[in-house]
Amino acid sequence: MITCSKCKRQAVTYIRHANMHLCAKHFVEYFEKKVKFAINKFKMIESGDRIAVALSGGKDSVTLTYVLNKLLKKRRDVEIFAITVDEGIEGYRPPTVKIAKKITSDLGIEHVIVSFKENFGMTLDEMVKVGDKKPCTYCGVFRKYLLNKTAREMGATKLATGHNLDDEVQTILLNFLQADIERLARLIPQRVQEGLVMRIKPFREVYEKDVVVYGLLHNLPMDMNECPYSHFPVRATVRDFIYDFEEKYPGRKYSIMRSFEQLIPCLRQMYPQIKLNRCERCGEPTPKRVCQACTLLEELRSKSKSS
Amino acid sequence: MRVKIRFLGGFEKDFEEVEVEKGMRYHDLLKRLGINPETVVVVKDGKPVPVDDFVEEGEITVMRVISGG
Repeated sequence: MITCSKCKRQAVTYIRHANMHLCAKHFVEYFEKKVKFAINKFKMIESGDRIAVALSGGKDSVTLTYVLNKLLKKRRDVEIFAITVDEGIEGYRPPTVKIAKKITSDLGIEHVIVSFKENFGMTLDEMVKVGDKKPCTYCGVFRKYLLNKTAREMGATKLATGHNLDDEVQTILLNFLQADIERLARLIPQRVQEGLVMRIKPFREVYEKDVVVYGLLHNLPMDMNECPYSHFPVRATVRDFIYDFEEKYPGRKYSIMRSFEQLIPCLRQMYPQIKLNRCERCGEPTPKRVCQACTLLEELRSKSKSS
Repeated sequence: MRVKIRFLGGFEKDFEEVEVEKGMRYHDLLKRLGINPETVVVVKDGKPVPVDDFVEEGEITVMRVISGG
């Protein structure tokens, strides 16, 4: 048995980059401190905020909902509620929607569930059959559209997602390796744009495995299933490299994050915010005249008519 | 000693039983199985265990925690 570096209780985890063993109590403290640090660093939560949590029912968003509720429930000046998007992926999404419902009812949090079917007339499974684009294109565009629209209509001032340190550093390195610096600039926290509810990522300082450890210690449902459409070969290569690098040199995930953060002032100058228009069809914010969701939807509708 | 391993989350196998010599740590066992310890959480009796702790007889669950690929 290995004991906690802070007390004499049994350790449940080894934080390698800090060379520290922690028991359940001190790990929970450590984890929540990281979350609070990220929230404060980027002023993610302010008095008067009404925070929408994007809750898919997967391990990250379930844990995020739990932690935000714990950190904020005593505050009278901040509210949270959850939004679940049901894309319509047979076999994969229904169990996580059930998990999402259970966690919000256990915690007593307001919860709305919106679906592709009722909003766009088609499930993602149906879109994939009719259209010629990749599933993740449809899913990404329509999911973000629906999350933003629902959050805004429900009066949210922030939209919190479960992205963790691993997700963020993968995206940072991926964009860099693909020479997509404009996309890199989109990772800057707190870009305010009209019609878009500001996105916040309170887990950006925590390791993905620590999210699982935290969830296990609180008996939260840890759904480990992967989306059947998930297919990102380049990202998977970058991900595997980062884990090998981290295994050899603990703490390097933080190095990638800090390098990116140092570039933020320069990225802001290179890519100033462009003013968004309102989509001519639906009124949602878009840099173009017609938004990406309406463009894709029109294409899908004409294809399903002709087939 | 014998250790039963349950694999959770996108492994090619669900279960394996291995013979482990005394004094081996979980991260050594994982590496022997071709698993990067950075990508998993080891669970014993429902609780996470530090990856540098000594392997004990019985059953463990190896949860693959990484996603996106």
